[in-house]
Amino acid sequence: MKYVGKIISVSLLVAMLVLGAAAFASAETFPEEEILIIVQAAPGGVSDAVGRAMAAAAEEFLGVPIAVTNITGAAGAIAMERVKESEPDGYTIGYVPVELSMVKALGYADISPDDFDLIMRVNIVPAALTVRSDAPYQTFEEFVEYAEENPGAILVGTSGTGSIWHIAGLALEEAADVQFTYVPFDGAAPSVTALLGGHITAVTCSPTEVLSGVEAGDLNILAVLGAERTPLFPDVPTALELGYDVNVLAWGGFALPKGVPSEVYDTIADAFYQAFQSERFTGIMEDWGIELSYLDGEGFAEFANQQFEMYMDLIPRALEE
Amino acid sequence: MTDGILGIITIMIGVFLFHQAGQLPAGVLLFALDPGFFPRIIAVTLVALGGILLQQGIKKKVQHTEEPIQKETALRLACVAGLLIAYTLLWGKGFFPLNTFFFLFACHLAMKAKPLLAAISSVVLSVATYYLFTQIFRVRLF
Amino acid sequence: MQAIQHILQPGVFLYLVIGTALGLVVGTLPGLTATMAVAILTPLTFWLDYESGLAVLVGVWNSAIFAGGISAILINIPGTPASIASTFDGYPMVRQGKTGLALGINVLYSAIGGLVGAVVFMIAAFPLARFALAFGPAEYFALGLFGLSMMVAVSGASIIKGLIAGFLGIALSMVGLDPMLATPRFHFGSTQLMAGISFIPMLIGIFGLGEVAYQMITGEVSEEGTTFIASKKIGRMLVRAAEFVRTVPATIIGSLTGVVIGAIPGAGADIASLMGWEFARRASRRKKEFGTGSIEGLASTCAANNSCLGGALTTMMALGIPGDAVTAVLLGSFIMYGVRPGPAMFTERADFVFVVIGLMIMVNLVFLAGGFFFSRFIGGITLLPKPVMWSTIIILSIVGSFALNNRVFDVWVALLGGGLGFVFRKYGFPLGPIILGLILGPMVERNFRTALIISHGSFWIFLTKPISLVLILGTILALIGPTIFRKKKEDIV
Repeated sequence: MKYVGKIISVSLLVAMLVLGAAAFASAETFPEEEILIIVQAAPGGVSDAVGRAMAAAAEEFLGVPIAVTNITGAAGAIAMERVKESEPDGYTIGYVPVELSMVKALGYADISPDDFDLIMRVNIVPAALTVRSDAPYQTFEEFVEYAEENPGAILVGTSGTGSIWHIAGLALEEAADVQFTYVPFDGAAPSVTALLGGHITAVTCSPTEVLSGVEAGDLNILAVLGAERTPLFPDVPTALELGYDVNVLAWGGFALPKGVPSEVYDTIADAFYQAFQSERFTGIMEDWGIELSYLDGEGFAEFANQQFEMYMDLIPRALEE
Repeated sequence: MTDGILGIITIMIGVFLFHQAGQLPAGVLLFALDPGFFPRIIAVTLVALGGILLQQGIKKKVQHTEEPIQKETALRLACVAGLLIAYTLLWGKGFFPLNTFFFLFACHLAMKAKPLLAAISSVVLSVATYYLFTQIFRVRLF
Repeated sequence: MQAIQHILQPGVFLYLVIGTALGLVVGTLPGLTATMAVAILTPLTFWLDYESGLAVLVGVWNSAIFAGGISAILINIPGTPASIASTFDGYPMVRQGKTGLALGINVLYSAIGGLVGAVVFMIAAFPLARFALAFGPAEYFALGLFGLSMMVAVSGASIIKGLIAGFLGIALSMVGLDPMLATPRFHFGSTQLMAGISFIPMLIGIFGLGEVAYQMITGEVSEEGTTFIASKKIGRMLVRAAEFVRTVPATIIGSLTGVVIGAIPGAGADIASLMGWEFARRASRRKKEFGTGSIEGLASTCAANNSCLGGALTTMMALGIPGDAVTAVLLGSFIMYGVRPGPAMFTERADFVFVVIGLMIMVNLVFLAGGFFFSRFIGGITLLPKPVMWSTIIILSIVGSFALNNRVFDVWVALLGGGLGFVFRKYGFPLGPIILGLILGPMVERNFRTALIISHGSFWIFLTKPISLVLILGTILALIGPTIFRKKKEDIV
């Protein structure tokens, strides 16, 4: 009886060793096993939606399953650091948001766009100025006028100090030469809630976040703070059109750790481009109201580096005021 | 006496917290209190509470009824703790079900299980955990 | 009417039962949370029509919260954060040999709470959502402060030790980025620590690993001290009529607290279950029994954490704002079905709303029917040999901590929590306060500072807002009241 246990454990050990060895078998053609996409935000948001939709759509073109994992924390720095340090074999792909160009300036982690082989930019999310409908101003000009007359009285809710929507507020403040008081929240959703409850005066987050409030008539979106009008609210002007030099947008794309073999890179980039154009992907993006804006790897790298330079200059200045 | 020592530890934690909080930079946001403000309040409270506990310990006002841990039990507990740390350090190296099997098998033995029971239970648990998390919860283990 | 037909389709009902069954497993196993299960099942929305897909998600969500109470009661380890308060009275009941009754109360009152939540959602979604919006930073601060005052009530033998535990909890919660200025605090140069100490791994460690370690030393000293002996006989599960009458006020208070807290964005089932217990305790004539195996205490918290779900869904659907992690995931799945939550959906997609309400009601009936059998069956696992039981808890705690966020760092947090939990138990520090500190510390700090920004530095903001004023007065009364009204009976220790 005593030996039964030993026999069981030994035979199991052998079985596992065989299985383990099989996993180490060399991979000649890419891809041979499951690919992992690391998303830096919790399930339920835009980043997660893009990551999962891309995973679902690209599986078909790569022929292997693609898993999605959420690693949150420190404005995405934890997830991006994980991608940066993972094996450059193509089996780990990261979703990279605008914070890719920001976390270094914020002092969270030593990460810059050059640490990655960027695959493509997928989407852009412009900032927008949203206020309550019952406010004494109904247009952007009236808002600026009000802000000029009452310096510091406008309480602008942001998704956290140093976050992209805080930067949007700061840019607007500079362009309009007014003075805001910033109220940081734990993400954009709580700031919109506070605006709906009348605890603050304005938010500078994305149009998607305020969509249901605007549709219900409680909120009023005054201006888009990006380069172009948003398809969600085609009638809302941009601040640029009105003569204020503000252009802040969040964006997202995909990246590989630096040093991926070029044929692996090409396989992934091709598959992701096909997936990007597939109906399955675009359908989900439409449901979410996500504005697609494709750039290929090279274009994305140039864009991300340009943003990186900008934030390296802007963030330290902005946070020192 | 135990309470007295616990009181001193609490005071030390409070002092450490206060010192660390003092090194935080001042705030830049209008009216938003410095990042070190709340930690300092907590630190001071901890020191005060630790002081009261120390005083109670010396006066033996509250005596926590304490059963001494037997040497053997302590050793077994230390074994499990050591195994936990080793298992976590080795996370990502090797093959998950195998690591887990050895870890659990050793844990069972440290908890005075019979070897046969330990083997069966460890096999079932390691395979079941692996299957549950990788196949059903789609978590990437190693 | 059509909605009822939708839900009564056999297929939809079957999916609801499947979801409920999955939720029972996920909820019972420590280390697996409702959020994780809902997030993992969301891709089902690709393949199932909306009635069936939502049936699975709603089933898992509701029954996982209920089932978390089973492990809280049986082994003193909350299966999900929403069941922390179930350990206060549930575990003592088991030690008194009332295992069956404790498990039965968990089933019955979770279902009652869930139904209250669903009904409030059905008849008062918009007023409730409007009320939730009244909660600004000042109100959140006052709510958090009120919650922290519970430290005294859950301290047990030594209030001083309770307070130390609580403040240590707050101190631990401060590691990471400062909530206002995003300045890294107490991270000692580590990016991992900069992201903060995750609450759930800490909870898993304190309750799961800490409890195992403690049982390892007590199990050999006194056999009576452990759960496993006491639970050999499960006993009657149904409450008697007299007991039911006694719990009516606690149940009403618990359920309503749950709905309201659930509706407030940012305060989830964990806070609801604690607050429900506290409000019921304050209102009860048998305050002293709370925390020592009171059926009222257990009933109130079981009702609160399930009624909370109806409240959370109200805010998510009526305002389009996800109040917590689960509703954020649910919101995502709504969007996948082409429905954007917000006031508009109540008119444009009323069918969808009715299906959700119907499912929220049905799921409680389903687990009410199955929960008794499941609880009795699970009650049997405590008869397993202790090493098997302990090893199961250990491995689930570790892998569960990792799986939450795919970080080995979180496993270390769980180990740290395990060490803390063990030391606390060994030296007579209560566990309730440290959990309160961890959950409410950040809420108090963030909102205190946010409120001061909004008021441009004036402290009057806390006293001029009615909700905040009432909560602050309640807190003061809770802290000072007992010392004034006490008839010099005993020392405050």
